[in-house]
Amino acid sequence: MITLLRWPGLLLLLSLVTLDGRAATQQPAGVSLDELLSQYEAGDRQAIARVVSGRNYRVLVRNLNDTLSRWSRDRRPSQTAFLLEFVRTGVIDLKDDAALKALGAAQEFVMARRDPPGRNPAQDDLELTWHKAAVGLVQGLSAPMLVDDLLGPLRRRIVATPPVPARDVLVDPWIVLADAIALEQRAFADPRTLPSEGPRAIRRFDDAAAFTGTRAEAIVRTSWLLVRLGQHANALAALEGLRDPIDDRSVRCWSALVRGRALEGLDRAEAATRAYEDALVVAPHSQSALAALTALEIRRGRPDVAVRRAAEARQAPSSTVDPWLQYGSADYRFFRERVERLRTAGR
Amino acid sequence: MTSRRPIALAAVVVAAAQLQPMVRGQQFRASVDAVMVDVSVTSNNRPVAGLTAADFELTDNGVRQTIIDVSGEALPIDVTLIVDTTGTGVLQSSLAAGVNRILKSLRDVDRARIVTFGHRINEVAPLAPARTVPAFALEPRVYHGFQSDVVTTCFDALVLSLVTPSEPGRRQLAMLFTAGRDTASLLDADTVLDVASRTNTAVFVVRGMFDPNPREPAPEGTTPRTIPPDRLLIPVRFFKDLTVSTGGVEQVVEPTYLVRNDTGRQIIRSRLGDDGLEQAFVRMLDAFRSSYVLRYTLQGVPRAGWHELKVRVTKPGRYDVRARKGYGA
Repeated sequence: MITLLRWPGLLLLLSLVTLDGRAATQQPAGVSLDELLSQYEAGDRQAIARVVSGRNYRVLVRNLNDTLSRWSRDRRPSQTAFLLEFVRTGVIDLKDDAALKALGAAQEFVMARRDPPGRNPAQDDLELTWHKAAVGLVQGLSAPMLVDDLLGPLRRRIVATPPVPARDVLVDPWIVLADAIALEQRAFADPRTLPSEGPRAIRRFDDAAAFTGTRAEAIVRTSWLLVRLGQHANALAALEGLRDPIDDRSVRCWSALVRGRALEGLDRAEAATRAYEDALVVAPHSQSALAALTALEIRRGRPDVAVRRAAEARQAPSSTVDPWLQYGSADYRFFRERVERLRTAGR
Repeated sequence: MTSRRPIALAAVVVAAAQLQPMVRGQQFRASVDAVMVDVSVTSNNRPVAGLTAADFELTDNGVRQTIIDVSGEALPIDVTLIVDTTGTGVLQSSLAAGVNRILKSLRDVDRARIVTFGHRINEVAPLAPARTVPAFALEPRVYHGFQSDVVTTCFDALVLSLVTPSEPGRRQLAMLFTAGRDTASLLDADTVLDVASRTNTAVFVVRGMFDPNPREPAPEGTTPRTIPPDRLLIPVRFFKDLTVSTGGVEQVVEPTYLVRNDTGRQIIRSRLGDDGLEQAFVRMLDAFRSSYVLRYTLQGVPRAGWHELKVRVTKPGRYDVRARKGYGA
């Protein structure tokens, strides 16, 4: 369960708030968590965003313990989706006890089920989807310690392959990938520990690469770690393991970008250029790909091309999402989709 | 591709053969073999004025060059303002004021461009005569909820902002405001330094930091809040290398600190007045303006490859001389 509230780097960033603490005593237009949940359950998608601001959030969570205690006697799937969206909208920093309490309560809700894991497909789906959404949320906050807290109770409950002898568990290789990403985030969070933590993450990604559903992402992340460790030839070799077409557009774009960086590291400029252009085919206007091409063209002595690429990047349409910016937040890219599934299940 | 010089050597063959007009701009060559170098000279932290070509000694790859022209303030400037929109918190209004102060300080002949970065890089004002660039504004922001703004791409933004077309006879200046973080760039520090060395832009940096150990007493009803180390900060060395290698200057301002009030709320306090950041920007522009531009025709040195520059003032006295460390041709 979630108990740990510390992650200094993020705390520092998220602490850059312009909030007047005195305003926290004001009431948020008389709305309680119960009322907010009712509006949410009635299909008002914007209720949370409308009501929960930095100030209101503090007021709303003041009676959180009582509310969660009451809800625990009348558990509904919709509460689990609501709490996720509430935390996502309101969380201020990782010293935020309320956010973690709410996540912890929701996790208890989804795990306190009528049937044991593996016996009821609908309940299994709800539990897995919630955990994936919650882990994605804290991955999005780049908080590997919180991912560990969430994953802790799951390591015996969700397994990658059916256990022998059989026992009541959920089977989903996603758990291995999530575990590896937590290690990867830990490795990247502090450059000083990358040389020691990076190889640990790579070993875990190797485990995840054994499963079809997680193979591509595990390989690409392994390759990026190797690039960051300066092992460009190994990074390129790792990508050779991508034999099948990649369904996930983000992973497809990442694979091209990482290939480009690995090739650059090997001074294979032309091949690197092609790799970045492949990324642009997947994600036109990707500023990361264009930045890489800009730098590469300058180094190749083709400043006119570089200038054109840079201008294209600076003037990229604001509506485009660069998949590379989703790399660090990992499963958070699926958050909306997963919460939507929870909402549907809660009806 | 972290080794800089071999790549520069390889690149120059193509550059010299095919792309002279653009290469001249990008590599600060004013004519086929003419080179322009920004040089700042100070004594006791004050700009030294009135120096002539005879007062300078410049070597290019160890070979002394004949300076044919010394100019400076008269030349028009192209300024690129590169602004990190994340992690600025209470500094936002001050930061916008600083950018606008620069715009107002520029002359009719000068031009400006504004590029912001955070979760995306955005040219909010393309290069245009400075007087016509609209006033810059940052929306006042109250943070809550999931922070897409934890994503910031300082390295990528620098590369995309420094690689711009430049015209002979115009000085190139980039001013970066950053909270000193990079969380999501595809490119790395070495790449930025390499690219910066191949442009003719002097990069000046204002780095806004939390003060981890504020000395002033906490306001009544609050307690000081210590700030844990932020391990995602870009190493300080990078900004030093970037400014030193391009002939720029870095200013670190520690304008903010944290306290915690009696309800447990963290509050950022700013110790800067309304013109706090403005002054930092203006000092940088003044420093750039007061520098000299030395022009020489390359002699006794092959054009291709990396050129190491050394500049000193021969006139008696104690001087601090700042110039880019070299260029790739």
